[in-house]
Amino acid sequence: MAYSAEISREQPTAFIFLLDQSASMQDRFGGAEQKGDAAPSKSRVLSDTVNRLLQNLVLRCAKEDGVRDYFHIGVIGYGKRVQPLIQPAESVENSTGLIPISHLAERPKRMEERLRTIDTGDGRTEERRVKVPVWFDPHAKNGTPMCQALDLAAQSVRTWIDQHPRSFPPVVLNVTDGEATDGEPLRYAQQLRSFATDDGEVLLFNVHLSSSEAPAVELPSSPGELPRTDEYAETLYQMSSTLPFSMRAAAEQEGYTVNLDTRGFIFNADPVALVRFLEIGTRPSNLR
Amino acid sequence: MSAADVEVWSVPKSGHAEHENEDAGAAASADWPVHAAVADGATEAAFSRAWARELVQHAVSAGVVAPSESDLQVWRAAWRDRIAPRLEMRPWYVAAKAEEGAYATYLHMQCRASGEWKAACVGDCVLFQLRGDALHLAWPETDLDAFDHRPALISTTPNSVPDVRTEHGTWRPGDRFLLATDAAAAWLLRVGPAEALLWGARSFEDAVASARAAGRLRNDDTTILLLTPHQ
Repeated sequence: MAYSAEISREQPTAFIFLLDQSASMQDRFGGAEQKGDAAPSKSRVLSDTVNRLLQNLVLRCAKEDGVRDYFHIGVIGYGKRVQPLIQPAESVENSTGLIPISHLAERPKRMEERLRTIDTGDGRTEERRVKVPVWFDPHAKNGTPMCQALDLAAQSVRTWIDQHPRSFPPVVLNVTDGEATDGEPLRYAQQLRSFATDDGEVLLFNVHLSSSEAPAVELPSSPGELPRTDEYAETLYQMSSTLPFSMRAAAEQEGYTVNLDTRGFIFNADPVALVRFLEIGTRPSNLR
Repeated sequence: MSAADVEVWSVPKSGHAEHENEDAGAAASADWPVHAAVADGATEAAFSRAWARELVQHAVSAGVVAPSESDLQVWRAAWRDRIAPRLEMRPWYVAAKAEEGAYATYLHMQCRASGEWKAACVGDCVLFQLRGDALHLAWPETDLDAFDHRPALISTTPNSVPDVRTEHGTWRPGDRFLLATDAAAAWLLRVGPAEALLWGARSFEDAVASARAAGRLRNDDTTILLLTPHQ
């Protein structure tokens, strides 16, 4: 499997987010600078992470005359229910539940003002107010039907692959605190990863948001690198795909240490790098 | 009579329209010294086409081979003026992309009547010097593995200092120069640059189409500038 198909408007790839919205996501996040009651909830970290990932994906596709549909996006929430959180507009006819990224770009729920530290390029930094798009707010209720979510994602990618058999395969990004309450997620993960385009099998990456204050882990290459204080990390690691060659090369250029066993698994750290590793054209190395 | 003949051939990435072609080429060949430049705007930035054009046009008309920070300040201001009207009333992502800046690779050569030339390059464009049908020089990159998606670039960000490489040499009557952006350069390194001497604008488009179909040419904006200095 090559994982070398060109990602273009004629031959887009798909990005599906699986978002854990279970009650345990109300607990405090262990990887924040603030600790204890001041730390944000895991559900807040999740919604911030996903909004930032989507913003990053949109900006990768944005040109002066609009957003190019290099990606088709799906978002599935799992908690009280397992359901798609974004719906295709009526004008978009498809049966996959995925929508072209330009439609998402035009319809954030709202724009919020944030204070950002900007590098002025001459060694100084300054604080500026910037507007950022928000598509999702925190939700945390009921159990964690991760297996059902993986199953729904599998149905979605199967239909999408039928329509895009030569594309770079879909990337599924599961953001969770780790505990499935509806079965053994490894089996469902393996089933999801078994679907393939001509270019490769579906890639499943896991972003583990934990209450544990163990050090962050990015792109581990063996279970020995996982935190011992979180019992779900190993399952999520096992569920995660190894990085294909093209993504390993991009990761290496950014200073990550990678090998053939490196997996798309992130523990209590920023997952935006995973989005950067997909190549869609000449990329200024200082763009993040 | 002009000091040199110049032809610029450019074909956008397959599936893209001509106005989406982010390569640019320009020359000033009426008098000595002759200047010629190509630039390749980065796909993942907005307004890169405008930046690539500003770069080559300013560079050849000002006769600046290796731009200094003060040259770049003037060219960046021209780029900002050019895009300013297009930022009004645009959605959030256009403003965010403009804030990130535009980027381009760049290759410029100057050719003197005395038989000397000099060149400057940022990123993965390649200069070929042909003597008759034989390759006399390819610079700066001749290793096909070096062409990846993250070359050095000239940015519109203030005070960002580009990594400029320079070279110089001599030319004889009958020598020809090719300035190629990255995909075209890798292709010429593979098939031999003398191939380009057979092309005109139309046959270049045909050659690009068949090389892409055969997998010899990466699907990217593809530009070659052919410069023939007169004796």
